Amino acid sequence: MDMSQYRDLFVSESRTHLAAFNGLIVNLEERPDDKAAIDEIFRHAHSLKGMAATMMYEPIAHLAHIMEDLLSRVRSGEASFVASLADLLLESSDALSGMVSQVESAGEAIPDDANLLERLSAFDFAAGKCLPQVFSEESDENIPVQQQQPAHQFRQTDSFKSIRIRTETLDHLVNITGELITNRHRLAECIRQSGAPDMDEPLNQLSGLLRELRNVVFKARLVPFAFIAERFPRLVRDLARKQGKEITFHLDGKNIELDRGILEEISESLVHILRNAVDHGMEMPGERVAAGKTIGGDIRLSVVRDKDHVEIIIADNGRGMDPERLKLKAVEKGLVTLEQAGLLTPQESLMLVCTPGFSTAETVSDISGRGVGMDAVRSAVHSLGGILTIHSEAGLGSRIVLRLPITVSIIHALIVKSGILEIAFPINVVSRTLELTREDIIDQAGKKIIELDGVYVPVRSLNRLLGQPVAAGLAADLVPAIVCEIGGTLIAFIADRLCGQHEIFVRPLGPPLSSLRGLSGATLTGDGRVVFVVDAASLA
Amino acid sequence: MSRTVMIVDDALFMRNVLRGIVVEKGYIVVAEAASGIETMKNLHTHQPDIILLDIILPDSNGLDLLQSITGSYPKSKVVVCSAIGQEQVIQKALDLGAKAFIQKPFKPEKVIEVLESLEP
Repeated sequence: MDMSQYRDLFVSESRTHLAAFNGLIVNLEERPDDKAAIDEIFRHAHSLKGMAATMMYEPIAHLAHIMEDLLSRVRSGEASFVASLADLLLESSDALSGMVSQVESAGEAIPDDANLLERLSAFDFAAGKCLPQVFSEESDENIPVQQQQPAHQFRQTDSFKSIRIRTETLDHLVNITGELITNRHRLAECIRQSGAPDMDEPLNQLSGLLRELRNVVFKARLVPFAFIAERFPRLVRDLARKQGKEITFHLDGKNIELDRGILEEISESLVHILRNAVDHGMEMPGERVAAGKTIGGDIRLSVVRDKDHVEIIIADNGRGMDPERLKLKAVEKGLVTLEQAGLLTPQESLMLVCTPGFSTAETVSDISGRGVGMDAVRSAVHSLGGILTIHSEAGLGSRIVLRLPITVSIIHALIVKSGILEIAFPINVVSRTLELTREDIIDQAGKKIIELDGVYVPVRSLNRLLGQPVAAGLAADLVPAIVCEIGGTLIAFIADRLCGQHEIFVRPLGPPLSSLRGLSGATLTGDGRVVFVVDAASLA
Repeated sequence: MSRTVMIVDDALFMRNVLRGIVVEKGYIVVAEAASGIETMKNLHTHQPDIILLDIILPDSNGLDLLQSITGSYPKSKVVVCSAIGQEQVIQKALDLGAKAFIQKPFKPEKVIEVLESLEP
């Protein structure tokens, strides 16, 4: 029997087992008395061993077997789960991951270093730092039959119902669908101009079918958040241990689905935010106790679906950020003037951490001081048509919210006219549109503002921002304004005319246009004109 | 008439491998299950001639499950299929009504040999 036909399945199932294994080990460190978790960890090692042996990948089977042996001693109650065992098991799991990757690329598993096997075989439970042992005397037979189905299992139970598709194929499908939608606009425009009769019905049908196609194509690209989240518990755990901090990581909503491309884009940003939370947000145990807090801190990552959006929230109960201190720092670094700083709201002050060149860390740690900064996080969120907001209270903790569209490329946008230009605002940043008379606009120390439901909202002229001529109208003339919510604050843009809402296919701008500030992409109209998509946050 | 088989294993990989082996020999796989609950549901619907049962499942103790199967569906022949090779587990499984035991990892011929040896 040719076993190579099962290789891909072996690789993907092994990865599922290892990811679940890692997550459970991290959980077990926090609740070493969780007998069900031990059973499950054992089961993952056991399954992996069986699969590898069947495929005749001896090195994998051998390593998994030794891990299983150690676990069975914990399972039987003979030994307790100790922290150093967690480290060793995670190291072994990494080694297994490496071997699985070898299987994937080379078709065979190359033996891991003998040193690890030796350390596993010689592991001495008594020598490790002991975690509280709370195992009951119950035998295996007493495990309840109806335990909750583990949440990490996404594997399908019927292999005929799903197939694998290359991600390039899915991307291609989105592009074709986008082009079709653009084409439909053109077709509609041609029909309108030629006045051809009886075309409404087929055109409407085409629109309906395209909408359906779009939905199906997008649905095919959705993957659960868990796809990128499985490494987070481990990341937080490792960082915390390294720095001697006690942190419990919580993950909510990992089954919520997002576009694969968005997840891919946002993954590194989340790693950065989590690192910041551990490195800078969380205090050392001593500092926490001195502040009257619990020794251990919490970091919670929640994913919440809100209509066409997903909110990813990273909250910690660490030391929080002080807006006044951030302002001072920004002035010191010459990022804002003292005057400008004085005008900032607390909310705006928090957003200063996203200014390029800003870092509040007293000392640059070897971990989060490098690589992407919060400015990179913000641009990543913006380029996806999302919004980043930061909430924080000194002493209580911080909350960072990434509001993202569920899908990319094809978005609803409000098209407005500014001078000779047509500009598209992604509808998710527009909180409302207004018609203002010039009298509504108040001039306050050279800054134009309007009052909106009791709140003062700054006003910007799109024409000025985009270098278009500014028409001098009469005081009573109505001018349209688009109110956008950016990082928790409102800002109104005045345009010449609102042209309505359209579904558009956004194409990225190539160089040199891509370096233009305030633009995130472009789309073609029905008659072939280019409409630029604005990134309202950087335009303001 | 071809005999019907249900495969119970929490690993899709294992189920696929086992299905490949038995289908080649003309058995009909009428159901697959990845958990104890699925097993009992499928058992009721399909009442297969043979059940290939993995002892370690996410939601139940395999030996308890074996007992429920042999208790409720005595006509289905259970072949326990697991990597646990301890004598006492094998003996316990046989005591509970399992007809045979296949130890993982297995050779395809071994699986077929065991299945052929079962009385019709």
